[in-house]
Amino acid sequence: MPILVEIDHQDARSTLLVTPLERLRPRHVRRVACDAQGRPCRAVWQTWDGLLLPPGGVAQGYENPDGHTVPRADVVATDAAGQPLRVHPATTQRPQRLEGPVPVDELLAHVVTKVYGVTAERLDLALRQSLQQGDIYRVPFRPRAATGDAPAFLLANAAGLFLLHAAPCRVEWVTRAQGVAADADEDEIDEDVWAADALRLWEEECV
Amino acid sequence: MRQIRLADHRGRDATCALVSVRLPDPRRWQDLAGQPVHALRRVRATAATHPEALLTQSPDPDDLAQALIAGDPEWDLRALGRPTGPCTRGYLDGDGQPCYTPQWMECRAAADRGEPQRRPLPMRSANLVPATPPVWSGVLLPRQMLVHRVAFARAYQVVHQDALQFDFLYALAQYLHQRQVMVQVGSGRQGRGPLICERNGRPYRGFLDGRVQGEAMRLGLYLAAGELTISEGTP
Repeated sequence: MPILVEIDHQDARSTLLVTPLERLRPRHVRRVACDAQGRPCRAVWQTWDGLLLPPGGVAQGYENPDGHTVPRADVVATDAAGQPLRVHPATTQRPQRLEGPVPVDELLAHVVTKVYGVTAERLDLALRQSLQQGDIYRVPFRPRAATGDAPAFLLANAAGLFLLHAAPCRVEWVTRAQGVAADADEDEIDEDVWAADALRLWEEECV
Repeated sequence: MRQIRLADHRGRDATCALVSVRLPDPRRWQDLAGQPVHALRRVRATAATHPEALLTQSPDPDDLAQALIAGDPEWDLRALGRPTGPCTRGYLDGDGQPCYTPQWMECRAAADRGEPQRRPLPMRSANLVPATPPVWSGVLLPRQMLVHRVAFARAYQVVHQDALQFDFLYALAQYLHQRQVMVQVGSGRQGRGPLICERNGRPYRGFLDGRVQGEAMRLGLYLAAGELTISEGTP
């Protein structure tokens, strides 16, 4: 569903309609696990003692250290010091101020999580020219209220205007003597993506 | 730890480590009383007590109702409500029995809403560390142009595991830094083929970005799934 985004740049307001681009794999193509007779299989979780849990067979909740269930509405996000984090409202309700042009390095310090195609309902001429020259702008973008700040980058190429929703990442400087510690919980290379996809569908079905 | 076998502009190659560049989520969760909370999954139904399994056993609704009243087959009191703990993935075949070696098929819906076309999918292995030496692609692209063409959906940092690897990576980073470009890395005879990070994973186009600062260097591997274009289906 398209999202209406209003942005202010140099005292001029532009109105953009952003639409998530189609996933690269067409929706009419699906990967299905089949049994020996060619019938589709169902993905399940298997517990350590062999219990098979089909979709809908798991209830997810929150618990405190005493083992008491905590309603979702009573769970709040905090920082490392235990201070509640401020919930930022969705950015779709009010105009947002563009930052930039930002250097390419700022975009390279992020990983794109979602790509939106942009239809400009009203685009400031100066902004249009700047984008056509290859400038990149940063804009706060939260389709719904959230505690974190995941920015988006507005850019243009010959195919059109794009809004790249991104998450920050960090490539560190390393010297000969000093390496970079690998994450202990990093995903394994032997991860089977088809199976992971099936489980993702499984979880979506559970919701 | 992930590894990648890289070739450089001098025709040398080395297998280096890849580490994640994602920033850890700094958020913690607590309840209104200030106590920390954690997410937990509990068993609600098993493959034997799930409504669909019960319907398979008793297709007639009246019989099912009688069975529910008489024996509570929907409750497995030994499993109900207990934490699931760590789980592995599995599959159930068409009869609801465990299927240990499912065959993966690609189902393509027919345009006339008829029977979908099916074809078996061959296994696609990860190719970050090929058996044969990789090839320097020689495709150097300015960063400014590249970020306007593709969206980098994944990124890793290439790091050394010993001093020789550091010298190799430093020279590569310096080469890219001096030219202010990114180089395409990939599979195949020309070094431009797709990179597949996991078995059966999505193919990506890989690009290396290198910077040096005195004795320090940083080399990032950026993976792009596709070009920034508006497809026909997008309004």
